[in-house]
Amino acid sequence: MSSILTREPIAAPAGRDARRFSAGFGKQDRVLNVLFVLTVVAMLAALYAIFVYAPTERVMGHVQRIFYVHVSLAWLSYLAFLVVFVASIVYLWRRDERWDAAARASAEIGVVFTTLFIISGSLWGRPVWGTWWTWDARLTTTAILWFIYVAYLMLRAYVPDMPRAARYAAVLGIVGFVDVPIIHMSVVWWRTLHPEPTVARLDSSPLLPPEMLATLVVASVAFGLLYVTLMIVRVRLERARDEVRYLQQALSLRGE
Amino acid sequence: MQNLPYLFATYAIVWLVLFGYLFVVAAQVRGVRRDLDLLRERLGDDDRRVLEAAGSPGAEGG
Repeated sequence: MSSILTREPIAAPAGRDARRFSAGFGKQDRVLNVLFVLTVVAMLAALYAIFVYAPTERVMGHVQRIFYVHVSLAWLSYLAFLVVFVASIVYLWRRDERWDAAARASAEIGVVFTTLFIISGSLWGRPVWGTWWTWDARLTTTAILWFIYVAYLMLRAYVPDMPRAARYAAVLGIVGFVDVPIIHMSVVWWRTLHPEPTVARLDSSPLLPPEMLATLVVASVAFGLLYVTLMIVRVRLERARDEVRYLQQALSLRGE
Repeated sequence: MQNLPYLFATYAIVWLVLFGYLFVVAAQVRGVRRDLDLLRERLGDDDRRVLEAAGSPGAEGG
């Protein structure tokens, strides 16, 4: 009898739906390659738009070009945490590990993007506001968001019981997302140094000139493609790690 | 008011961190692939029976 554990690309554990372990490396690589090329092209287009096409802002000068990467990363961070939120709800509802893997992957990418948009904001704030950091509502709620999802990743890393870690993290991923709309509304609800939204406005159309808006859209699409590409790779990685844990368990049961 | 060093620093940091992250993820992928290959080599034909007999989480329906 041949073992099901040797099937390619990644075998399903006995009695399980094979699709649960179908996210192995080696499959769908054409999709990943196309996405990678699209991401590189979009990034080059974004750099051209940011540094050549977009007009120079009259008051801030060239340093305002930080805006395009700062806002794009912020939007993609919110999207990443929205994915964590949705995947966590579905995981708690259906207990399907694929959703937990998606939440894990998206949380990590979200933390990377959040770190970068905080750093870019700080580097923009220094010449424009005269300070690297200030504890106003927008910046403070953003710092809280960063700590919430760093705690999420630490929870995943330090709780050894995987199902329990997944449950705890799912709850944190759901509760933590409450901070995202608070961040968006913080500049409306409180008086802050950070300006009000110029694009995602509830009461009017974007305040940006068309060239700046187009540049922001191109940059956001480029970072969006990067997010999708990273998500595919990271979800496969998480599923492969699940498979490693399963195979190690199988070996330990066999006494090796 | 140009402040070009801040602009340069921002884009340099963003790209360095993103490339660093890609490098780390690629290294993790290589490591997991290696682990999977090693583990598959070590597992034999009767793994399904062992898992089902033990009633392990890996042998359950989900």
